[in-house]
Amino acid sequence: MKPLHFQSTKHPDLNADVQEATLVVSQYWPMRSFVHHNPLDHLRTLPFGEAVATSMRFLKTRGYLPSTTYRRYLASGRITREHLTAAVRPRVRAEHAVLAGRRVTHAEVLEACLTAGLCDPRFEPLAAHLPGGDEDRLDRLASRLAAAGVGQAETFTELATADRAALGVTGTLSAWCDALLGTRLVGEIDDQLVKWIGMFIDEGQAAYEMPNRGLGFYAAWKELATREWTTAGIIDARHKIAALPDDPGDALLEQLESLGVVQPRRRDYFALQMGPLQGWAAFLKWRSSTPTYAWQRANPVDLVQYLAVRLWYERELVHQACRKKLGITGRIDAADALMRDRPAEYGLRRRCVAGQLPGGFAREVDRLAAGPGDRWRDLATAHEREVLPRERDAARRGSARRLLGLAKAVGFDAGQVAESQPEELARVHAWIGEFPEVEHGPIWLEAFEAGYREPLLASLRTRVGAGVGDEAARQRPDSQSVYCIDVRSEPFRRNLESIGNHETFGFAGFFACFISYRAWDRHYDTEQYPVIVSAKNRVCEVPKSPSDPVVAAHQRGRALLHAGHELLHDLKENIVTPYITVESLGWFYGLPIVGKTLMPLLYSRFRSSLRQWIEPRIDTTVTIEPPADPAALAVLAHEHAHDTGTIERIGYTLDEQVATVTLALKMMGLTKNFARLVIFCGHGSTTDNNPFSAALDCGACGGNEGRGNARTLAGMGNNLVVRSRLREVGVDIPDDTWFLAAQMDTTTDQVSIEDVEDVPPSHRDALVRLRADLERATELNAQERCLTLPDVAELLSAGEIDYRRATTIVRRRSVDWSQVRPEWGLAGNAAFIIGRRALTRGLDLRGRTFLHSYDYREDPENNLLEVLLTAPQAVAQWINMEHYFSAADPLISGAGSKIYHNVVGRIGVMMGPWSDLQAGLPTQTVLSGDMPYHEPVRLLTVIEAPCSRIDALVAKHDILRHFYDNCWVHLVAYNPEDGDWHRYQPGGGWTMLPPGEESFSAPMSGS
Amino acid sequence: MMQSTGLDALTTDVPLAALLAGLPLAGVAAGLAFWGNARLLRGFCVAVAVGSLVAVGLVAGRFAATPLGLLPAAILPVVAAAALLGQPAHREHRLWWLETLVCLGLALGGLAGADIWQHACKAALVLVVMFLLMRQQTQFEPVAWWGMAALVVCLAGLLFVRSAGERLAPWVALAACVPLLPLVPFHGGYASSVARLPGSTAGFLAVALPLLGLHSAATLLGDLPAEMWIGIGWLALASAVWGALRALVQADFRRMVAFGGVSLLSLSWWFAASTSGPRLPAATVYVAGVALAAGGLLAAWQVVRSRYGDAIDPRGVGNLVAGMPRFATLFYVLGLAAMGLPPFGPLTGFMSQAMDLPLAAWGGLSVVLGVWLVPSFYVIGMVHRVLFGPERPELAQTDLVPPEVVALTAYVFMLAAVGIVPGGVLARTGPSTIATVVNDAACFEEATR
Repeated sequence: MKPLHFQSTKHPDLNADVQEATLVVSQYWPMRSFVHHNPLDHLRTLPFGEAVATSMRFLKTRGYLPSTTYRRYLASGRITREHLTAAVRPRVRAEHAVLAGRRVTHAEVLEACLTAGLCDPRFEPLAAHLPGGDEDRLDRLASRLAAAGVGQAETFTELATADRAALGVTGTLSAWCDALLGTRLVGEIDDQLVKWIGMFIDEGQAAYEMPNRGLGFYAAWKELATREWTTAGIIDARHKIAALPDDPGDALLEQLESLGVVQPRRRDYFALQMGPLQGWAAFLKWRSSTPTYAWQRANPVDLVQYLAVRLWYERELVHQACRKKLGITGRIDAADALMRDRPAEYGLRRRCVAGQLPGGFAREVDRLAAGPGDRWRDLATAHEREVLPRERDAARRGSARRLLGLAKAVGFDAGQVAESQPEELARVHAWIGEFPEVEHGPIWLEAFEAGYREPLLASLRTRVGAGVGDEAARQRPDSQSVYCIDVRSEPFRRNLESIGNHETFGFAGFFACFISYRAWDRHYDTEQYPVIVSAKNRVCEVPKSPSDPVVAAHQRGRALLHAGHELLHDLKENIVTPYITVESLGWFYGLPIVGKTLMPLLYSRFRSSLRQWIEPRIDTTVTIEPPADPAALAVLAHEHAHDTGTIERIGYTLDEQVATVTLALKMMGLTKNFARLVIFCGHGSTTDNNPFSAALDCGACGGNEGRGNARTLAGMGNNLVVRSRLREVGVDIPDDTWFLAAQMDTTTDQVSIEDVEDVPPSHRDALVRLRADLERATELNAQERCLTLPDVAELLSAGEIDYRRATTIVRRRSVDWSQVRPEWGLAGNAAFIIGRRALTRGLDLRGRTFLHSYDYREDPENNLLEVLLTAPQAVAQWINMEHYFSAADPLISGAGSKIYHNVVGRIGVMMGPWSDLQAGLPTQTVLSGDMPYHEPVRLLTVIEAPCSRIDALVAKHDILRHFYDNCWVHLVAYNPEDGDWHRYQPGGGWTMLPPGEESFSAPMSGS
Repeated sequence: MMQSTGLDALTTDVPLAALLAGLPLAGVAAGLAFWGNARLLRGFCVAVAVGSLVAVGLVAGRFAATPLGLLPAAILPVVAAAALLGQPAHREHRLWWLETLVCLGLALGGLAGADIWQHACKAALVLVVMFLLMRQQTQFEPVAWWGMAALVVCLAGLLFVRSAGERLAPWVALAACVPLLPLVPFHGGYASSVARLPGSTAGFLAVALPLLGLHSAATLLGDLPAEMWIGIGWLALASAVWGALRALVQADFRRMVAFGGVSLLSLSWWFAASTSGPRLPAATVYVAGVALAAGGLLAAWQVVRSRYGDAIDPRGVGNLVAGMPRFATLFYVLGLAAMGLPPFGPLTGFMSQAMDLPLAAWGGLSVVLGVWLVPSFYVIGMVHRVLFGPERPELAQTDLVPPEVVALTAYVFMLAAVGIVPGGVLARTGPSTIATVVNDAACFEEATR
């Protein structure tokens, strides 16, 4: 974890506590370069199950799908009974009970709990009248359970005792007030923080920016909040804010003192404060860890400042509510004393707010709470007399309903179960009680993962059994192409290979080029490499012929469009002009609205043509080496006028080029048998009206298109000097091999080849053939894609559209501004296979696997595998976990529905106008209807390499131990030397996987 | 003031009232035969209500000459059937179903009967309501003495309206009306009935009492002195504001509906005061619309009570939209109707009456408009709380079962029908043949003066 930079350095203990507390939230990057991340990444030192539980405690997130969803998977056969039985086995005890004269084992009861939903925590209502069937039988069974002493209802004293233990540990004081008084303090605090943080972090979206941002968040807030007309209803807020210390650390300590939060609770209390606005906290955490970020340099903000402001609101609002409604101070010790000394009042109020009191009691509580007098004890006595017995009866009916459900699940006669011995009924009831539903998730997950793992490993084993062969001995392929490891490449590669003699490779889409890239026409650089590393070189896209008149025409057109855009923006945002702008220019928007809505494809073409007319397209190249041409330098100087001193850094040295090409080719296993045409194919996407567009671009390129990287590597590869140096390190590239750069549009499946004008005439025929095959592969891929899109798949299956239209359909989706699901992106990802293509060639992996080409024989030092496991695998794991948690908890860990999204500050989206920053993926990316499209399973890494080599790397890197020992990633190795498959055991060691035992059970706790 | 008129004698008579009142009452007696089987009994009670509707249809022409026309008489059996269907077939509800039929019979008798018959039926209904309220007391809800007192006033008014002297007659006539079509401080009978009585009975009375009150007003208050109307107007404004404020602060759903009803129904008194008597048929549309909205909301709330117990507090449920989409849709539509959105009856009736206002009444219209907008807060607030509020995951959510769908849909259709039905259908002078009868009656009345 990168260290966070806090302004409050004069309180090192405080800073350390805040730093520790922030472990519960991940970092969130601005979404213009959407970075898939593991929301629990900073908890990966914990076993997966514990990390999920920790997140649930502090952030109230859900780490597993609901049991009802898992049961639907069971009903559909996606989860099998065998896998479920295996997953539940570690919890089974060798015990049995006798019901209805028959034995029922502990294992049967636990399985029935899972399959029949017996542990559903839902209450039995006190007086439900909806017919449920079996009423008489239910009553009989409930009375037998009563004889066995079953049926508990929580008293107010018990409730108060439990809540005393939880205050400050699982809940804040403001949440305590909300639960007790029916207030909305947490919501009010959140509203205030969203308002202030939203204004502060704005990166150019707001027409009027917040003043004094340069002072830092805390100081700017302090300056402005004292001028508010009213501050969250806090009495005398202006003076109170003005009296706060200038230092945020001092202020934070003051709030803690006032709230009575003392060590050792401080760290937990901070962590709890991250929960309600975890998206914003994650973004501030990223800002804190990125002091070089321009906006952070200009407007510093950190989590100490955030907490100082947040806790000020909490302190004032809690004090105010507690004094007014309870007559106590808003401190933890005072709240604790109230729960200890006034359990009747506490319990009645608490249950009233929770809606757990019958209407008459609730109204009486309202009356007592509003007026003077102390009849709480009388009311509590009445409650104990009238309601508790009914609650016990209801609890027994609930238990009886579970036992009848159990009888049905295990095939017993429900009628006879009611005649069982009370003590046997009580025993089974206790077994069910010991297995609450919150503990089901890990078991379901194991069974769910086994259902994916088993067929995958079996198919790989079959493929190996058929003979991988020596690829070097094969005939020279017509083409070789290298695609990103992205799961979307897999179907395209498969389809291309099926058409002709084309060989494909998988490699992280930045192609080992760690570059800051300035695309032509852009005013900023993009960081074209995984976010866990940093840039080494800068590459710019420049006109190929700077002195060409078309370049001048292009620049004039661009200036014109830019001026028009700026003018329109200013007219819209100015305080005076919007009205007249709408009146005079509003009609002009009619054409785009009609075009985008009714004829998106046609309108898109029209718009491109218009743009091409105004701003003629020019041929460009990339500056692999610093440009020597004065004209090119002049253009660069013009384009980079604001980037003083950066031109000198442009390009690679020869040594760097050689090193880069060597590394790339060796890592992808492409060191011999080169084809005449070799394509490095990056990828990007085309969507409209989609704030998440960067999430569809190349994750390995930091959420950007990979075109620049591909052109850079191809350019280096075509450099004859570089080739000659490569021969010295054993990579002999034939003279007739030509490297091409290309980009695949993952939304439309089209592949556009770059710099075709540079292709030697001798290769033109081959290029024409290759293009034809790529187009055919595009069509096949479009057909395959259409079958996964629910709305299109229905039309396909109904015969309303034919497969030929598939290409048109996917293109139309890419430019349709109302389309919330232009493509599925990386949804479905589940495995990462590192090995030769021969392992997977011909297998339909359904676009669920990251494929990285790797030949262990080319890596005697283990260096390449080390890079693969610590970089691409880490990125794949982040992607996997982002999808996992977004699917498991679409509303908190995910981003909710796109329909309600609004972009805020140009850094993310909120739900509606006012909410937490939505840091995950939208439901349209991970859900299909009410079921997950992305099946949330942990990443399965399959490596074709000897286990001993992997062991050495696991021992060397903490991150790998965390992944494998803590069960964040499942690891399987195929050892080509002995032909066996092995599974890594959490804690170390390998277990051989015999054929048919691919569905190994993975313990959740790790080591 | 309109005493026993020839018009009534011509168009309504004892056999008609006896038929309409007798059918449900006979149904009650016959229903005892199904007492052991709750499902059968409910089905039978629904059949009786439907039979009453058929009976009303058969004598529809006769209603053209009654003060409110056919609409109330057609609505009440449907409301009774919907209220019955909205309750699950559970043994604990059997008595309530029969009580609903009793109320239906007496209400139809009150609408269809001639002079003495209508008062007798209404008085009997008031007595039944008083009995039910006496029976319905709990630890936290002792006898509703304000409500009982209001009903006693109504009862006295109904009993003495024919015999009161000329000086007292207007007051007695008013007393017979205001507890039914609620007006503060005589709103207690209506409010208690709606807020306290068990499921189907409360739902039915929420519709029946205001319509009977309007019927009485149309029948009895024709000659009320202008000064009295002025006083009623002021009282109506106060009543409307007070009811709205009480509704706003309620945490209990049924009380909110009750006080919301008091508020909106009081407006009909203000409109009547502005024109020195209820303007028919606009007043009928308005009262029927508001009453149906209240009944519909109660029927929707009954769905919640069926699942989570009669005593459920609205704070105890939330986010029902997640597991009960059919319920959410119908509940929301009923909420929209209750807050006065088109095309439902409340808005149509309100606008019809507002368009008819004399210029002098426009001063009070600002207050009335304010009151009219308040349900947008409390109704939608409550609907949002129930449908979108914090979820209690420990509560199972079961969407509407078919009879409940029918019940709630019936309310929605009735509300829409009342809102968009052509004025001619509602006019007291209906189609040509009935118009002839009415014209003949008018001639007869003129001749006998």
